[in-house]
Amino acid sequence: MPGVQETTDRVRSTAAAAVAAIERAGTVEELESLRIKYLGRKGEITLLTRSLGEVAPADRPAVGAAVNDAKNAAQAALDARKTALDASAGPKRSATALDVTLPATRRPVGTRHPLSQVGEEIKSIFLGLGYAYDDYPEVETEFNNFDSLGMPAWHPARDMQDSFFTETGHVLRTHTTSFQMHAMRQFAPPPMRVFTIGRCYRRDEIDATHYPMFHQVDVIAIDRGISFCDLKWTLFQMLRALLGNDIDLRFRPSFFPFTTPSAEVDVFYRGRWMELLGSGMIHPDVFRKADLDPDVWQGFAFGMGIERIAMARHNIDDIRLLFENDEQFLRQF
Amino acid sequence: MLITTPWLLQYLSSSVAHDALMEAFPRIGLEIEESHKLEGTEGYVADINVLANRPDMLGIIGIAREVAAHFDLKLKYPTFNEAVANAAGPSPLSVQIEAPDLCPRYVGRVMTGVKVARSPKWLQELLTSIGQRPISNVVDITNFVMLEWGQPLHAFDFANVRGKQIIVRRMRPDEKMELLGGKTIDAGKPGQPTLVIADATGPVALAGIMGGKDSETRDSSTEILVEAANFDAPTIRRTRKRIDVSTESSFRFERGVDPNRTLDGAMTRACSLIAELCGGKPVGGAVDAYPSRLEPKVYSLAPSRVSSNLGTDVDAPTIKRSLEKLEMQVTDDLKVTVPTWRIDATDVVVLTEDVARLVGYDNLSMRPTTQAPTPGRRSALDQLRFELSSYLSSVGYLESRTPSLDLPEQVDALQSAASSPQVKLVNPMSREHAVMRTSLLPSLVRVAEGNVRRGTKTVRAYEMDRVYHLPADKKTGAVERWMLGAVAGGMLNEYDWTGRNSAINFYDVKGSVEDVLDVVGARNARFEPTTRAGFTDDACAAIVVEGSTDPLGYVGELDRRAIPMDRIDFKLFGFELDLAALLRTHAGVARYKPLARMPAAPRDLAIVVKKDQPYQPIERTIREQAGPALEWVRLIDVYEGKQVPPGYKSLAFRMLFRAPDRTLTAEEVQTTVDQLVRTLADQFAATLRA
Repeated sequence: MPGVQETTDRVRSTAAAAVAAIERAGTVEELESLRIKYLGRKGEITLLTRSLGEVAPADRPAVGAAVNDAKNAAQAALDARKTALDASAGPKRSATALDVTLPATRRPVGTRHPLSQVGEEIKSIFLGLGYAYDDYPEVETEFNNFDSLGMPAWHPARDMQDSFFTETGHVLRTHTTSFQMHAMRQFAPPPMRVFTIGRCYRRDEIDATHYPMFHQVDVIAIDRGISFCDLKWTLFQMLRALLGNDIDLRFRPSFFPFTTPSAEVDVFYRGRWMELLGSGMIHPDVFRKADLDPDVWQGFAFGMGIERIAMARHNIDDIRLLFENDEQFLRQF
Repeated sequence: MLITTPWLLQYLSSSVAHDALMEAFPRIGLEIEESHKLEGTEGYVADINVLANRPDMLGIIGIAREVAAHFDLKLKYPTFNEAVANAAGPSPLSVQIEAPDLCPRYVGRVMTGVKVARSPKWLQELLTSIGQRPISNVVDITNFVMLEWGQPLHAFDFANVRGKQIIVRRMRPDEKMELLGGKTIDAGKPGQPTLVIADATGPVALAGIMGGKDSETRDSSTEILVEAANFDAPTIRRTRKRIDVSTESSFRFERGVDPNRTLDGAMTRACSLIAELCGGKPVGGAVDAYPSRLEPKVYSLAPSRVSSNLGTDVDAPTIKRSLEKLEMQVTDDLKVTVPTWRIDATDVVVLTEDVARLVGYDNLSMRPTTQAPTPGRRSALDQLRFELSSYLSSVGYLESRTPSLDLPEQVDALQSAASSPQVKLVNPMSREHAVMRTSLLPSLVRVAEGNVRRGTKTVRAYEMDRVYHLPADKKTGAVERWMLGAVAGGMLNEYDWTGRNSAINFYDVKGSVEDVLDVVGARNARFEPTTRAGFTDDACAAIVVEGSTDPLGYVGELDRRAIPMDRIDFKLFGFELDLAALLRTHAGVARYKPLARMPAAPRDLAIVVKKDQPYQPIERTIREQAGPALEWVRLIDVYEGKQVPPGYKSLAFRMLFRAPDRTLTAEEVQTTVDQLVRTLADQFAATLRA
């Protein structure tokens, strides 16, 4: 009768051989034959169970435990190897598998016009700063477009803007600044912060930078102490949001009949200075025309071309592209 | 205004380096349009854009004054010839201002012994360098002094001034006058005066604009009358526009010239030069007609107001120092006497601007002051536009921006008897843009055509903008209505390999309209068959909401006869909705309704009706008659063919019944459906489909 030690040693060495063989198996088929070889009905480890009868009854629990360990070790090795072999074998696809690389069936997506995109950005900036947005007439009285803004009929400033007139003697607004008379009454009494975006018209011959119809944003802020430095700060906020943080601004003395002091604002953007907008402190006469007391109220105003910003931002070199509505163009933004 | 830098530096108490000078110009509000080296010198020629409110800088002395102030230098005025400056006594000239409202001042001075010849080299070179053509010493001097002082001058051959008298008066209706250069003018419309300089026999010059044909000095002239005067700006502007002439002189007068430098500036300077360069001698003193002297304005300035306006503390000494640099007289308590050449100083705030300019705009801080906050909000209409464009731009529509002016024929083609009159331009740039548009659809069709020409197979485009009509009361220039316009046609998808692609049809586009109504939250919109200019009679619906008789818009197939679309070989559909009307249907804040939790009972119903029976009344009848338990009804099939008689169609509906509080019995539902079938039979002669 063999001793316990001898028997358990034999069990362990069989198990070790089995595990080693399993770990070397290169295919699922090879693994299956190893399973049969060791754990099959007549497998080497299975047969070890029968050898329990050959050991003394007192030794059977110890030998039995060794045989169980051997079975478990072999089975664990089989499972692990199976998983590993499965993983390296790649996916299994059925005959109805899809070619997921075929083009999608899309419902086409539309676009917003680049001028509207710039307009929306400007709106989000000023809505955030506490400004109210509204629309104002395009077909205007000469009073709202010129006279109330310091440009009486004989004023040379009217030469700067050759305008369209309608049969009823109204003018197509030459700047959104014509909104001031409306807004100052609509939102009175101050404090008020108001802006508008819209079409303007001037009799400019069409070329790469001129179009007889264009868009402007006009902004006013009026309160007891709104000052030139508020204007500078507000413009800086707007232009940083629109053009990026690494811009620089330059304020040059200028003349607009409806602001004093007036400033032309240049922006340093993508390596060059660009004339961008006109601004200033609202002239007392404009306040008077809107029935606001200039001894009480102070405010700033500025206006800027939307096309100019859109063209600068997107490197568009011809204003006509903005009104051609070529799908190829519109889909770029 | 063209200047040269060496010329400018002559008027400064010390020199300024070229780069510093060029940098200074924009800081004092002078934009350099162009500059180039002055041949053979260290200097430059600069074309300076003088701001429209500062005609005082239309003479180089005015520019030098600002440059001197910027660099804290002194302005050096030119010196006068003493013999001229001191000459007094009677003049052979008499001056009469008959129109003092249009001519505040007229100074004339006779110089004798003048030898008309070529100007000295320095003067010729200077004038040439700034683009002026030297003519003769006398003419060159008047031009030069104008460019120096900003005061236009004229030199008459005194021998041609008949009666030795000058009368400044309105041109008479029967008068005509030939100008230098040959143009003949008349007095123009009554009520719009034309101001002339006349002698005893008639006009010799068009005041402030141009001399008459015979007025000018010639080589043989020896007695010269030099004129330095001041004229009403609007009158000069109106006249020179009427006769379509612009001169250096009119350019200055229409912007405004200081009447107080007429004599002790320009006139004395010009006569000094005539004495020095042409051998002229004064005949007595100048004749000065100046009926009412323009006094300088005096403003009181409060440092607190200046500081509040600029948002930066500026003290009284700084204000005083700054304004004194501009030759203003300033007391310690800031009573400021402003020289009359500052035509722009019509309000005390101009002085704040002067201080800001001299302090430097860059030195004013860039920070927000603490003010009362205001709410930031869009108008309701703008909010609606934002929502609609978010929707349309995400389902394939390209937002377009098109001109709001259109061809008269195109606008007329969409005009109906009920339309309001159009808004027409009196001075359009072209016929294509002569009328304010009354519909967005023609421009959108042009967008479609352009893209089809470039090869696209699918068109979806929209625009939200205004259309214009004349108001009935004519109180405003136009009724401006915001519209949403859209066009769509071609294939649903540009390319599609699945075989499921098809052409965009009326119902696809109507679907976009219904989507829009859903986005807005509009309830109870109906589509009513109608006809409308711009749409075909076969496919056109008015969109009507409860509580309004006016449709809020139209949808349909666009009519090629009304809107040309030769390049488009597929059916193009479109819709146009009035945004204000749409806004009125806006559902507002939604209120929660309890969810339907009880089991629902679906029922299908197929009926046969006449082929031309519109669908919508049937659906409305079902909704109204099926009782409160009907949760929804949907059309699931429309069939015409073998299984229904010719001239008839079958409509299949699916209905869902549900009660909020219990399970409906099959009998209950059946009773309702049976009743419905009887009603449909009564109202539409509908039969159940076999």
